[in-house]
Formats: sequence, structure tokens, C-alpha cells
Amino acid sequence: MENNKLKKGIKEIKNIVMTDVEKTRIFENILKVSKEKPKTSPWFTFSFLAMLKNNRLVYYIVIPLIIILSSSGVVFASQSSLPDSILYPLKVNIVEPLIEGALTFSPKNKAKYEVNLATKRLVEAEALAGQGKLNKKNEDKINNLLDKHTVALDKTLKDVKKVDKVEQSDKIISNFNFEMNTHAQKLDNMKKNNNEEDHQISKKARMNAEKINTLFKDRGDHGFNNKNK
Amino acid sequence: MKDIQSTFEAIYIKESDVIFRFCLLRVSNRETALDIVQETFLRLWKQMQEDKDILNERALLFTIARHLIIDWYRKKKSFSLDAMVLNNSNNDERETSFDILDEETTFANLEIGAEGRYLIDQINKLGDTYRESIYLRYVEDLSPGEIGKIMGITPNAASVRINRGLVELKKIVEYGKQ
Repeated sequence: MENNKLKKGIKEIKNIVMTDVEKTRIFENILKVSKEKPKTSPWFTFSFLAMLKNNRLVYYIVIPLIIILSSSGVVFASQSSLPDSILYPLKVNIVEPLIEGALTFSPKNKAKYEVNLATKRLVEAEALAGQGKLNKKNEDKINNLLDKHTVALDKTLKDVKKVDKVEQSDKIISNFNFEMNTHAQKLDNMKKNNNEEDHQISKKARMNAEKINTLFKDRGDHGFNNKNK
Repeated sequence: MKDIQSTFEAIYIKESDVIFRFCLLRVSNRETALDIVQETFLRLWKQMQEDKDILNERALLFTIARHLIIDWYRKKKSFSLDAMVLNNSNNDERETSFDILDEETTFANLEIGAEGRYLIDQINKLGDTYRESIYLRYVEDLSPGEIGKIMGITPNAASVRINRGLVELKKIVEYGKQ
């Protein structure tokens, strides 16, 4: 192909162009389209949920995360609950024995934990008394739990005796006595200010302290007498 | 924003005819070529608005246009296959065939001389491998590097295609003369 003819052919091809009208129309269309902002679909929420549903990641990560986070929130909220609260059963039946209790390993720590729980029950009773909500129903709840903690403490103290020195169990019993009698007195003081009858809880607390003492009396001078009546 | 628009406008004025020509000679329909040109520049405009680095606007425009043309061919091909399956008796042959220059659109409505028409004919006789590289090199004056970027090959491979395409083109022209 001769060079001149090639050059001429190329020049003629380059004459293939858009008209001015076509050029302007396209340019204006481009600017117009780019200025229009996309509208958020009203179905966005559903499409997002659909996306979650169609994605397996949801099942393996998101759902367990939601369960863990919501459970943590409920557990956290239950910790400050009182016997008249809806979360109280969760606290005393699940959180305390299964979560917090699971973190104590040695018999000594388990015994201390039971003492703490018994003390907590009396603190809850004081809180209810302060709010004027310490009725018979709540008292019965707390008393039952006090009995439960005392039995558990007794059982754990036997293990403490086997594993640790006797002084350890004596310390724990002494602490238990102190807490029970101190809080019983506090409850009585609150009652006296209000000219009401004795709280059953304060009687129960003193009674349980005495019970623990009696159970360990067989150890002779290592046992403690209840001197704080 | 105004700066970006000015820059875009300058690129559009410089390259729009080049891209239009490229599209028209591939799709053989003026309106389709105009649509592809619009979409090509729209995508460039969006990239510029997103502040993306563009090293070579011409290469990018050709790349986008090329992909859009390929998509158009695929849609046309699937339409053609559907029409054949339905066995439509009123089926226009042009609708079931593709990749054939439509003389009415390409030549009759355009002012193109005999030499231009002849050159296009000869280039179209080349195989797919060489046709595009020859056109981009000798008609649109793109470098082997730019052609390589557009076609997704190395500059070296682009040079090889151009050289071999030229050899093939000479053979075709010689054969035509005979």
C-alpha cells in the first residue's frame, strides 16, 4: 500500500466525528447524571437484613456476638438486683453459683465465697428495709437463701479442714459470725427506728451463725462461741 | 469541583471524537456508538470526582470503551441466539448477525472517501489479534505502551502484534492488488 494512499486513508477515517449537537448533548447528559444523587431505597433496611440473612458470616459471628453481648448486659444488670426484682432469680440461681462461683477453686475460697453470699443477702435485706419493701415474701426468699448458704458453708468448711490448717476454718467461721451478727444488729436498729416487729431475717442470721459454731464445737478450743448476741 | 470539571471538559473535547470513531467502527451503529461514548466519559467523570489517580486518560478511555463494546457484543450475541431458538420468521438477518460492518450506517451516513473506506475494509480483514492494534497504532497514533495497557498485554507484546499485523496487512493488500 503506498504511503500517500495510506496517509490519505487515515485522514479520511479521522474525519469520522460526532456532530456539535451530539457532542454537546452527551456532555450535558454526563454532567446532569452525575449531579443526581442516588436515592436511598425505602427497602434498604430489608435489603440489609436480607444481606445478613444470605451471608453465612451471620451465623458464625454476628449471632453469637449478639447473644454474648445481650447476655452480658443482662448479667450485669442482675448483679445489683434485689429480691423484688425480676432479675433476682437469674442472679441467685445462675450468676452467683455458675459464673462467679465457678471462679473459686480452693475449699478455702469457696467457703469465703459462701460467707460473702450470706452477707450479701443481709445487705439486700437492709436495702429493702430502707425502701420499706421488706415484706414477708421477700423475707422468706432471703431466709431460704441464708439457709442454703449456711449449708453450703458447712459442707465447704469440712473440706477446708481436710485440706488446710484448722486456723483457716476458724478464721472463716469467725468472719461469718461477725458478718451475721453485725448485719442482724443493723437490721434491728432499722426496725427500732420504725417501731416495728423483729425482722425474721435478723433472727435467722443469728441462728445460722450459732449453727455453724455448734457444728464445729467438736474441735474443742478451736471453735468459737457466739459472743455477739 | 470547578477545576475537575474544566479538566474533564478539556479531555472530552480532545478525546471524544477519537473514542467515537473507535466505537463506531466496532459496533457499526451510530446511536449505539454514541451511547457507549457517553457511558465511557461518564465513568471517567466519576473516577475524576472520586479523586482517583489517572495516569493516562486516553488509555483509560479506550480501555473502558473496549469493555463496553465487548459487553455490547455479548448482549447482542445472546439476543441473536434467543431469536434463532424462537425461530422467528420475521427475523431480520442483521439482528442475528454481529461483528459485521453495517454499510448503511458506517459509510452512507458518513462523509468518508474511497481511500478511508478501502483502509477500513483491509483492516477488518485482519484477524482479531492484529486488527485492533493496527488501528490504534496507525489511525489513532497510540504508542505500543498505551496499546499494551488498553489490551492488557505488555508493551513488547503490543509491538509484536503491531509488526505482525502490518505484515499481514501488506499481504492482504498485495493479494487484493492481484
